[in-house]
Amino acid sequence: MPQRSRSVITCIRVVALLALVAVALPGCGLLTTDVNLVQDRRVDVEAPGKAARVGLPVTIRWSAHDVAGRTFALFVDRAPIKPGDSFRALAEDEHDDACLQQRGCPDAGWLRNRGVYVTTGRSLTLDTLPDTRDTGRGARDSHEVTIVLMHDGRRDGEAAWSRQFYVDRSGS
Amino acid sequence: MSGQAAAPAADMALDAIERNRMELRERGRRALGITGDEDPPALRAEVKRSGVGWYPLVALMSLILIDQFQTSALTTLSPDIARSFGVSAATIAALYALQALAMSFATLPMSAFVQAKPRRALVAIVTAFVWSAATVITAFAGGVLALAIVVVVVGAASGSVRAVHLPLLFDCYPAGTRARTYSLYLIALWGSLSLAPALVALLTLAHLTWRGTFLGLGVVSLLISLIAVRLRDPGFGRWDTEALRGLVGDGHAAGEPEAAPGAADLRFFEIVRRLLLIPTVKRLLVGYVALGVMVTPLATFTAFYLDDVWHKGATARGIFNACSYLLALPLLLISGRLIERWYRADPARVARASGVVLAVGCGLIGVGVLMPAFGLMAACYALGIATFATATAATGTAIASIVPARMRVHVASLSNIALYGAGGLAGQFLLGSIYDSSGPTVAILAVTVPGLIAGAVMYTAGRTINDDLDRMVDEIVEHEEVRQLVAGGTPLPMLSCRGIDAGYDGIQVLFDVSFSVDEGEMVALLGTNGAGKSTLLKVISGLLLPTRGSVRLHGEDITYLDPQRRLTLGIQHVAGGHGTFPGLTVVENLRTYGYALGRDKRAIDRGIDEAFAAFPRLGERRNQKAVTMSGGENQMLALARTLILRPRLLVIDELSLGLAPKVVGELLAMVKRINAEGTAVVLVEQSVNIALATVNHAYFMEKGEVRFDGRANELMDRDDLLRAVFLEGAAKAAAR
Repeated sequence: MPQRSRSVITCIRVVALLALVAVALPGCGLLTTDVNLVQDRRVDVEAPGKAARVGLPVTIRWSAHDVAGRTFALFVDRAPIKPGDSFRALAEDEHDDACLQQRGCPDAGWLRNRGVYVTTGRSLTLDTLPDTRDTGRGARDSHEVTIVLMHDGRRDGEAAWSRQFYVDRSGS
Repeated sequence: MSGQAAAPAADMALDAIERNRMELRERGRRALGITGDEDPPALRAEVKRSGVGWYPLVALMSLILIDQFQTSALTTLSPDIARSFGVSAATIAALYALQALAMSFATLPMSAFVQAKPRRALVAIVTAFVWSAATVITAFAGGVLALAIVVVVVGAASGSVRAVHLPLLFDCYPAGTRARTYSLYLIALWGSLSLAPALVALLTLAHLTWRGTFLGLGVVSLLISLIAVRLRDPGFGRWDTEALRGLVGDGHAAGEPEAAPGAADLRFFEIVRRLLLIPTVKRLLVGYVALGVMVTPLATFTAFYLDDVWHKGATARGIFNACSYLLALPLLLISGRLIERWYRADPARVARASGVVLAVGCGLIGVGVLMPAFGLMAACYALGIATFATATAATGTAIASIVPARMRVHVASLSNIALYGAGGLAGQFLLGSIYDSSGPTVAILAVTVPGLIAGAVMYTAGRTINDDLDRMVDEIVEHEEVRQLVAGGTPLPMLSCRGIDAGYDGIQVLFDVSFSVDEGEMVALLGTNGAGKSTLLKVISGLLLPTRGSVRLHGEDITYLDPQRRLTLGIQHVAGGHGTFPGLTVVENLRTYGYALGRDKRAIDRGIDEAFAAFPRLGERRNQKAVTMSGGENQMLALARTLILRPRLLVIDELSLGLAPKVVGELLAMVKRINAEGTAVVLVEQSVNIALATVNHAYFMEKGEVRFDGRANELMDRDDLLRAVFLEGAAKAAAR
């Protein structure tokens, strides 16, 4: 068989394989077509400013529109829950059987102890934050808050808004 | 014997090769672009003269330009991806590490895939489409598992860049233009390091999510990949191996296709093992490991350094990195021509320059992080990074110039594994703790230390590169000469060892040893203890690889073939005193040897019957374990293998060592019988009398060199040589 024909056959095989993969991946649930290609701008974090240096207590403030029927969940210095998950997933991740066996768990107290805050308002004040500075490194006390929308107790979509800031403890 | 009649003609032909070697080396170096002057012709004129045009370079530059898209997007957008999926940054970092691993190790199967057939261009094109498609698919990832699959696919496909691009580029353009074309190619690589994050930033500024950004990058990547679809593989060694072949004989070999891979062609790991024996390759790979220890953590530490010390946000850090990479572009343009000039004058200068430039780059970065002003720091740092690009151009040119064209994909893979696999991983593990304990400034200063070590090691490659280049020229030229001799009907010795250097752990034992055996001949190899006789036998049977020289069986190069493949070609080694499996019975031992060749059971049974007929004592002990038998019986068993394996060449080490004269007599009778049936025999023997009474042709070795090659009865008259052996034997007898 001529070299050219063999190359063509190889190319066809590769393309066929790619097509198969393209069909198989969504079939296995690995791919999704329900995606946001453009940034969701329903929420805008207003304070603190980007990479701002702030003192404690610090107030997180945001504006929002088209969020009727939804609450805001703030995750401080931790990853948010997965889209579609409820807060119960946090307790499951921690294997907190005591909590899981209780009705209404996890509650606000349980969540607050883990840096998770739920509110319908547009601001949240944090009185304390753990000091993340490593004195040997001389790094800054960096923090990040991530806001996601909750609907019927579950995370609504994969949109998330975050803000990084630094705590200045020189006055404390 | 027929072989003996042909011996003088064959030896004369091979000696003629030796005489021509120096002249051919010189012509070979010129053919490879090493002219001794420092004035390369203009690149444009050379490319035009070659008739290749710019398309292959443009195509490869296009592919390398998009290679960084997915990786860069993954790095930049990892916080957004983590938030979307609700996973930690560590999970995304693990994906990044997974991709780096796939990228490092995928080069090995890529090399194996292209080593026999020149299909590097096909691999380069297909993989570019694969990673472009995968970048598009990333936009639709349903979760971390999908993302993990995609990054591994992208990493593996992207590995092709590292395995095939440089070898392909080297085979596309004439030898005298390679440093410049490679530097131009690197401009695209370093340009992509700026372009990719810039494109990511642009798409993000257009309010696209991370998914939209991946989709956009994937589409751009697919479109750019289309530029390369007409890229074709020019074949292996068009401008070097073929040019060198053309120097031999009437010069008609140039342009003729190389023979299809034969029985003695090297397989993947044989090539890898062979490459690791080249001193310059070894040094440069060690240098790459040290460089990898520096380069991989440097990028991470720099980000933290800019954040912690200079309070620079993500955008400022991106701009800082982009500017550092951009400075490399003009420097590469200038250094490409410089490297070409150095290479033409003396390749050692290229290797040394790579070491010096690397050390200077490390120094600049070290000084930079101690600067009190941001501008000064940025200038020093950017210049340091830019010099690394120049060092890459120099080391790439050096390492690819000293290996035959077919093996360049392998050396490129090994370099990649050394740099990113071994060095990168070691760097993350070793230097991560320094960052945690001492902060980013000290961490960056610490990573310059392995960089300086890399520079020093690469500098030393200047000592070996010319020898290795000559070795490569010699090998290709000899290969072609032998091919032409065979084609012309000149009879060649059955076994021919030429110019063998070999040793253990850096201690050289054999020095330029030449040794040949004709079909059906019985040869004695004599010498004092430590003369290198057993070492030579190991080189013949493949238990030890030489650092220089060739071993040929009927003209086929078997120098770097694995021992088991030599066994199938008919070379059998009977090791002195321990040639059997002690835990197996006599029958099991014999059967094992038969299975080594995949012989059918009936043939093995026939061989075993013959062995028992020849050595009745073995038949009596057929179910006895070898470990319980005497030394003589074990030696009989080792020799009995021959009746099953039916080798074309039998090499026997110390047949009579420690055995009673009666047993020695029996064994020798069997050796003679095996030889009479057509098997050539090389006999290493302590007893000069026994050996010379048995053979017609003898070699005498002393201190790793062949001191005598001639008729056995002539050696008997050489008291000056044999005295040492007799004295040694007498001393041993007195000691007993």
